[in-house]
Amino acid sequence: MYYRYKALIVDLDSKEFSVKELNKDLVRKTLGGCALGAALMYRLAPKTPDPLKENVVIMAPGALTGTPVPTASKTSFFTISPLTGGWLESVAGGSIGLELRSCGFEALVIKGKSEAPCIIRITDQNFSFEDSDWGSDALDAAEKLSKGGYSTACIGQAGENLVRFAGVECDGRQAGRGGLGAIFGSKNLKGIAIKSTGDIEPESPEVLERLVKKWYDALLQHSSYRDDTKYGSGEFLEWMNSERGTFPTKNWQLSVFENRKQIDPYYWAPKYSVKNNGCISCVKPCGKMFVIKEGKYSGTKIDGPEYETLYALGGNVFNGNIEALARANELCDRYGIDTISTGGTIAFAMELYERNIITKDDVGYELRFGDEDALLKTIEQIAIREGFGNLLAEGTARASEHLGAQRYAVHVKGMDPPAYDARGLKGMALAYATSPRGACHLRAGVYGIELTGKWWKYSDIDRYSTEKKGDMVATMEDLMSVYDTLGICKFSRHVYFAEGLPELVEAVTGIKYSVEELFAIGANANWMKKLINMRQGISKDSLPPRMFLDPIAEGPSKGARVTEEELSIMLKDYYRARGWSEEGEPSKEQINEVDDLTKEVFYG
Amino acid sequence: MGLIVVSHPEKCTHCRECELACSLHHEKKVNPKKSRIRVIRASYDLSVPSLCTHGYGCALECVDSCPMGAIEENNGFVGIDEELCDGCGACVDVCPFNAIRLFDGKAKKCDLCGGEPVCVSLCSQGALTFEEGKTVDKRVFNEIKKVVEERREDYVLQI
Ligand code: SF4
Ligand code: SF4
Repeated sequence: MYYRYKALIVDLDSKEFSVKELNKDLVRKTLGGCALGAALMYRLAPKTPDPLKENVVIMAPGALTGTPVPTASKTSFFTISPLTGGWLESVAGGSIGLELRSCGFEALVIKGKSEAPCIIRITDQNFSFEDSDWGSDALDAAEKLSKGGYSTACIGQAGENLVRFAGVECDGRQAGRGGLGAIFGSKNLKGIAIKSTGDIEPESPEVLERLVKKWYDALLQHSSYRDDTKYGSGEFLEWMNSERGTFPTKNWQLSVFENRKQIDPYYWAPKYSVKNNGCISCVKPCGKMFVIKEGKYSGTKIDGPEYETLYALGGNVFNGNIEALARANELCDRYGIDTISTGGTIAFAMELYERNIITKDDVGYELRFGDEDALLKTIEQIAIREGFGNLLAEGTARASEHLGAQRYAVHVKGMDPPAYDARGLKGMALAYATSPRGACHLRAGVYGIELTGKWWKYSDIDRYSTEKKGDMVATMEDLMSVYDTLGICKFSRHVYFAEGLPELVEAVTGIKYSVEELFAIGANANWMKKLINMRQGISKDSLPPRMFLDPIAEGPSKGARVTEEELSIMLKDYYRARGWSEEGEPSKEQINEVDDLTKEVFYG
Repeated sequence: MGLIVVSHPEKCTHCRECELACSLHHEKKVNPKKSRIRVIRASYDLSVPSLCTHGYGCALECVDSCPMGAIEENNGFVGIDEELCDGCGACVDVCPFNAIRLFDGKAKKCDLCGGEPVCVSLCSQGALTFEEGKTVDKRVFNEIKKVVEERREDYVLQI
């Protein structure tokens, strides 16, 4: 039997564990990961004005996670974000999901708050709490926690200090975005360690074995395989600059980074990367073990930097020194903070500094674009919440309100955007606006379509046009939710597409779903995310002022921007495609369907 | 004859596809702890796959240790006769590669999948190769042995 229909509930208030039986129908209709997480959040998450005070954390491996389906590596965490105040899913490719499934659980639910810093340790059916110290960085903590062969999820100092964009370290990968780490910190939870000797029982093992080989071959034979694995996710950085001019730079004041040569993996991978790194069950590893052996940053050793980080700690803060960038990446990983938001917040502060809105008196030192020492110092100040860093630790949105500088704050719903300048990619602009967790490239994953004009069933997509975007973003959000539901990495979507998924679902879970039915599961998950956001009082889908007011300054996309009217046209199309009202609210029928589905998430 | 699976830790990404697939192939279930190959996380940047060397990296400790005479070496292939094995676990303790699992009352180890090792066919990084055992540099085995010794406790399966 593949599903065990069980969830482990951890109550940090009373320090108690309980095993609950999950509603079978609910599990079979949501499969796992994102859709199951959305359903559980819909029922179990409190309406919370302060996510750092009252909140839950739910962890659910993807439906295929824990099997050898190539790149089915993802485990998702769900909570109410301290950065956006709304729905947060944070996804990572560690092995903790495999271990949870081996223990016989489809989900882990963490409630309450521990009195003192603690660890949750799960060994098969033995559950215990351990005291923990505060103060160790995320990588050291993981190393310590994993002794005995455990898979782990843990925070560094930034999570302890409630930095609103702190992440969680998961076996060398990160659930980075949206502040999950601060929620761990707010619960006095340093980490989770899980180990099990239990079997995972796919329904059709022979078929699965054959499919694993089939998709392994397909992934390795794909034309993109060589460059993807050799140079990692930053492989197209030069092209993003010189051909598209959509590489956000200097807090989005520019869209081409003139000093990009050194941060291009074609330059640094041969020089600094000593080997590939990847998530569990990944046969096309995008991670690079980056090592600096001499000079000022000697001793730096990280898994990275990946594309978004090359923007966040490179172009966006105008840093063209790859060694400083790698060091900044290492600081983020060790303190346990999201690189994208760290870079976004610092870039915002640097712009204010150069505009004299803040001065040396406020910051304590000079904070100019391109100053690597200032960059590194500010990362530390944020992580330990010292001086001006204490304000930046609140995130771009809150800091901008405090300083009255909203005009220069680039975020959506409080989330700093990733490295796609949406002014020259209208579909991305819509996707940033509608993403339930705030600006994100992976909720809809339309950047590839926008940049190249075609993918899957899409062709002739004009990146400057608003046409077809509403429907496309809704469909792609649903597809990406299916990927997160199954736990398959989105960087394999050009191989599995949608059509490859049903046979895998059937071989593993025994449940026969058509492509359309899988899409319906994805759509349903997106209704629930929206409803959770509405419950939290977050209903407006919009964009930062810069995207409306400041056209792209130079390069191939020069002059491009998104007007408020264009966004509202696309939003209308998008809401229509979803069957939502003009204000973006799910229909009565949809709400009823969700209520029905989640009426009883547990038996008894 | 004499082909074995050789591991090259410097190329391993710790994806564990080999473990997942090995257990699926042999047990029809997924369980890395029962996999005949284990990928040992030696440190943040080093993962070391370890499995049976069929006598080429060891001194056939398992063969000597077995009180039932259940383990035999033949032309560079070491096999366990499950009929004879009584599950005492003596071989598990002595194998320098921690290559033997004990569960369901029997000792199990790499049987080369009948000549087409699944782990090798799914290692995208070339960290596993199917090679003549006698031509493998002994230093390769020694490096692996060292890590196995350090981390043995975390990876041993005897249930
Ligand atoms: S499949 Fe290859 S790269 Fe992956 S863990 Fe096994 S030996 Fe290492
Ligand atoms: S199981 Fe261990 S001791 Fe026995 S042949 Fe294999 S490597 Fe040598």
